[in-house]
Amino acid sequence: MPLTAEITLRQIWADVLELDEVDDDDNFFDLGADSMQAVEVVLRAREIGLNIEVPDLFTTGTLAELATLAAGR
Amino acid sequence: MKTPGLYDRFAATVRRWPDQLALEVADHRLTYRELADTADRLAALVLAARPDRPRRVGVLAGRSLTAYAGYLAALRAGATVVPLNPSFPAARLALLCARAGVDVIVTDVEVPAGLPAETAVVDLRDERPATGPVPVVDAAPASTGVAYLLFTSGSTGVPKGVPVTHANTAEYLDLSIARYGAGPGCRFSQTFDLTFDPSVFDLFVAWGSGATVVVPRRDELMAPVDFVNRRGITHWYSVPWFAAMADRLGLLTPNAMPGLRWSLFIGDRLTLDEAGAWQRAAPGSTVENTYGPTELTVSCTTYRLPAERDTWPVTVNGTVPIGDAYPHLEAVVLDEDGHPADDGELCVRGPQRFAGYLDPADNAGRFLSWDGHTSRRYDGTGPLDETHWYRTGDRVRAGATGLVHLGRLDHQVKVQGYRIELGEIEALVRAHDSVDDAIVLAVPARLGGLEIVAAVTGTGVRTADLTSSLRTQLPRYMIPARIKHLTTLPLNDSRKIDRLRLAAAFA
Repeated sequence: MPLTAEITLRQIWADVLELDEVDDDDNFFDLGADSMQAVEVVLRAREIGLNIEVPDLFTTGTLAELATLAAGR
Repeated sequence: MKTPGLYDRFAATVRRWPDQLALEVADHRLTYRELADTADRLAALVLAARPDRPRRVGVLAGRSLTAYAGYLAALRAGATVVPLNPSFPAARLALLCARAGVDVIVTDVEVPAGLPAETAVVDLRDERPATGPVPVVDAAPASTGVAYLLFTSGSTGVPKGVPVTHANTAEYLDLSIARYGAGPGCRFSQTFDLTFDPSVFDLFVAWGSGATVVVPRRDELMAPVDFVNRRGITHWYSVPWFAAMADRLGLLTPNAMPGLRWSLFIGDRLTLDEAGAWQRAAPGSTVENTYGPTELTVSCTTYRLPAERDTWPVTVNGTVPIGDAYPHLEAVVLDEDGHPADDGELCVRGPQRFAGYLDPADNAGRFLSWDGHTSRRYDGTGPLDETHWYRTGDRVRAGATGLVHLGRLDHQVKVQGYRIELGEIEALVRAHDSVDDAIVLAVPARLGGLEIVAAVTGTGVRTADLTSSLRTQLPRYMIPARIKHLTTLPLNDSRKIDRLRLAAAFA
């Protein structure tokens, strides 16, 4: 399950940030993201059943951590 | 009677309610007494760093105790406070410090490279200013002259310094404390960066009345409904973006924030839909849309929405009116020929109007004289005095419910409440080695709101290099999200660069 969440989030981050590739140890805001894009990521993740909140993007350090959190909910 | 300075207001509250809570930030909860002691400790360090008396003190800190106690310490030491944003690139911070003539920086983050050599630094990274003996501060608190110096985006490529005096704040704060029933037990949200002047409302309406300033962490701020409820906020003040964001996330359920008494917005257009969604979630609160440029001290007009949704006004552009100017100010709407009109530029004068930019060269064209019949633009020569009106650059329409904001008369835009002169970005893009010409635009963003984009010409332009270079000079919110490389910039029939056609190319 964490693996699926990871793949999904990688795709969403890449889409929203308009990047070709995102790594599991990337930090969302280090990639140049702003809070508007954080909202967009959360809305898209929820559409496909991943339960995350905007503050989670601030409190987790990496994509992998966010995926673990989402998978555990 | 002498008008009180910002620190005088705080000090009066310390005497009256020493044990009320003044500030909650990070893991700290400080009473007025404790906050005053902390400010004294920092003021003593500031004075020790510049025994020759600091004139301007930069506060380089984010949502930390250093930021708030440092702000007070600057005033306590008799200086002007210059808030500095730690998220800005080092080159910009160094530029701002040089322009502001900052003598001392109080900081709890890494000191940026490139500061003027004479700038002293009070580095609090390893200090615990909330504890320890309280020193005797050998200085009188500032109560006249410039209280704070803020920088706004400047269309010529250099940020403009806006000095605001203690006197400018006096009537504004008196009015706000009374209008919003501020006092002990009230809990004010602190959503704004200290470099954005509505933070002056949060700090000094609270500290001038015995209320508590409650500072959210960055992540808490992104869950505004939780923040309001968990921290018992009574007075909410933010850019409208938070209402829009909370609505999109489905957070604004009916009565989601039962304890909120006041919901205030500023800094960008507030739509009736956003205001309605927020009011539904905070039905016990009164919603107001406030308006004002930094030059007129936080806000100079406000509109209070009626409690009943079906009595709300309908406006041409679906925004909440910005209402009427405060009674102690004079406002006039002038058309292009300088005649009073229902639709035109809002011009304001009165005690909240600043006395002119840090660099007097920036004053030309931004003020006018008006005798009730004809107007004359201030050309930068001759004295600038209190009879001059400040031209806001905002186009408004006067109506039964006060003024409605229609847009800008120039190329200034707002992105999430940040005021941006497209010309400032343009000047830096053009200055890049590989660029011949450039136009910077704000276009509707994919995710709502506006985003900054740039069209550039020149041989061998590498947009990635250009972006990295801009990142070292500009705050993140001013970096173009997209850069298009063109052979030539399109011209319209009058041989001017066709900004509309360019904007369409980014759609």
